[in-house]
Amino acid sequence: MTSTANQQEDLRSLRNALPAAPEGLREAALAEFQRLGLPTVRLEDWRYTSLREIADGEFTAAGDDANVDATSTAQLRDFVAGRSGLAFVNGRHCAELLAADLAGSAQLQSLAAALKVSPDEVATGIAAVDDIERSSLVTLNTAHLGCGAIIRIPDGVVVESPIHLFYATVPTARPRAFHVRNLIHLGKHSRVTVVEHYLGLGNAPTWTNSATDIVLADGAKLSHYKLQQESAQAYHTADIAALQGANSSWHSISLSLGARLCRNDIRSRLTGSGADCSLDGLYLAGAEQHVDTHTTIDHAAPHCTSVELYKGILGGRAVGVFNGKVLVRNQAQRTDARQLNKNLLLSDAATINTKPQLEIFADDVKCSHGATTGRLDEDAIFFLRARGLDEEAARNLLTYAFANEIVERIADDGVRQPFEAIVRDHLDAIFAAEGSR
Amino acid sequence: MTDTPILEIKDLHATVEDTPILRGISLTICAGEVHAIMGPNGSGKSTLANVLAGHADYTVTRGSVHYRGKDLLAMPPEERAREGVFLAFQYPVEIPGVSNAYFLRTALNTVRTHRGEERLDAIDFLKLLKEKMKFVEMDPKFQNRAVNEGFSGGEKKRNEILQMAILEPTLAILDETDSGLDIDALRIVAEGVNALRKEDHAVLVVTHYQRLLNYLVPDFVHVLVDGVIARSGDKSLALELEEKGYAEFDRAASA
Repeated sequence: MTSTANQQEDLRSLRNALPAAPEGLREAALAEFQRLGLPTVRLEDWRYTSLREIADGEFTAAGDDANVDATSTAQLRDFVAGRSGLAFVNGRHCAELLAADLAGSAQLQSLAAALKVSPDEVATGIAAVDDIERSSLVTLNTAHLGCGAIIRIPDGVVVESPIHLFYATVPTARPRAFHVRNLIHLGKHSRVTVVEHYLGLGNAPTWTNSATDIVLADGAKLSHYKLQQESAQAYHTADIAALQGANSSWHSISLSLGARLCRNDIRSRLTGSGADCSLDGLYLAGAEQHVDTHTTIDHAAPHCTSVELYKGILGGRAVGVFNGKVLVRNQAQRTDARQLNKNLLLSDAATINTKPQLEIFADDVKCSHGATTGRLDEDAIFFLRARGLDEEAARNLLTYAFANEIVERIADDGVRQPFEAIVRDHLDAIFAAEGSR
Repeated sequence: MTDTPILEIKDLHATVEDTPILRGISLTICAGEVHAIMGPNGSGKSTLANVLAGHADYTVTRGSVHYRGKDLLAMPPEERAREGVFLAFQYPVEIPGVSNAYFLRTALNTVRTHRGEERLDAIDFLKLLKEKMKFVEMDPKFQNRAVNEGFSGGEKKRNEILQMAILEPTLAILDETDSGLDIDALRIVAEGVNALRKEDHAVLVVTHYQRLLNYLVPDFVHVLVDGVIARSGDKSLALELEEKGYAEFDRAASA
């Protein structure tokens, strides 16, 4: 099991498989993890999401056995055709799958390569968002540092084409854990789009534990899209944390489709005046899937805005969780924070636990929140039927539309179009499962 | 005008949540005709429109409706639409996430497939859409916007007329499409209806005010009071109502 003692044992045995890290980095993180342990349902933030199956799952970090056959590689090729960035299969950088041809002075490196060339820089990068409180999963991730990417965009540089970070898993002999770390640092007034795509082939138990650390200097603008389509037996935990300077802008869209259990923690700390944070998300779940999104927006400077829209479609016996925390510190006057969570339940057995969590210490602020949970609008169904669509087609169209309101926010056509198709196919599978129940 | 009946309503009774609203309506509409149904608020005008379109909130308790000889009440709403019955909604719904163009093309192709016609591909459809949007004087930007989302009241009504112009129904039912419209929009609604004024089409206009009928001259006017047709006549009846209001009928109904 993933007990703390076993993690130490695991780490020791992996010493040779993992790239060398700066002295003490792994050890300190592991000691911290041992002190904290895996989050349990006794913690308020983990009330609805138990990691017991992960703890009992005997996951060990990916080692030398994670070889990938040619058939799987060929299957993966379609997902990254025509893109540029870094691809990883079972935690290993796979340069023949995806080339990192970036124009200009933007910098993209695999974490393993960066640890070799400039380990101290990696250590600094890892510490950059230390001001943001995160779960013990991130310390476990740091202890296993080795798989992932570093993106650095210098001041004033605008990168037009999106950078893709593609993490695929294919079945291994033993249950494997993949600790993915992405460091994304944008210089002043720079701009880039980064896509994190997690894909699971086959149907073996895997655990992806990713952490993404984002630093946006003043005026920087990041569009960050994450698509999670892991396999049905996968566990996926992701912790994204952004530190935002003055007038910086972060647009995050998380699409969570796969995995048996998925937990997304998305955090922003707005440290400079005029920063803007837009968090959007869509989670689709059927069967026994469990999908949890926790967002935390820390308004630590005046005149910042945050807007959140998370939508969920749940069928089968799926369980959804949304918790949106907004902290407005007393210096954060003129804060404008809006939050909305909308859920569509396709079956009687699906459940959603949704909760806003507002902590407001400033007096001149605009904060709003709302949550809806329900079924499709019968008036809209009648409207579509009165235009000739049969009831099933009308329901499906309205459900696609519900989901599409999030997907269509992806500004880049080349990213949005294939993602739309993936979401649509996934919904079709959920409809089929609902229909056969 | 011909004598071919498009719609034959006989002794129609309908309830909403067990409250009787329609209490015996009989009405025949023939090909090429435009009929107007007028009446005070609560007289059952919108109920009639919704019953004809097949809304599940309304229950028919007695009577029959035949559309081109077929039992209309036996058809689900989508079959009525595919057979050429069109309801322009009084309160069109917003559908976030579905573009107007996609919605219209889906609806048109569903109807075309039913008629045994070929589906229109994206290019041919956009050509048709462009032409029809010009006809209803709608800005082309509305084709990429979500159906009715954030549209003003007038834009929503105009969008209903656009759908009607594209689907070219055999029987168009306009449920208070004129309410809240300015003069320009009224003229467009009237033009949309007049375009359907052909040998094999028929139109039923439900309205509270005579205003629309200045632009759209009906062949017949019926006054609906308390769920029954209290009086029928030609266009002069509408003018009379404009002058005297519905007071006379209210008295008659309560007597």
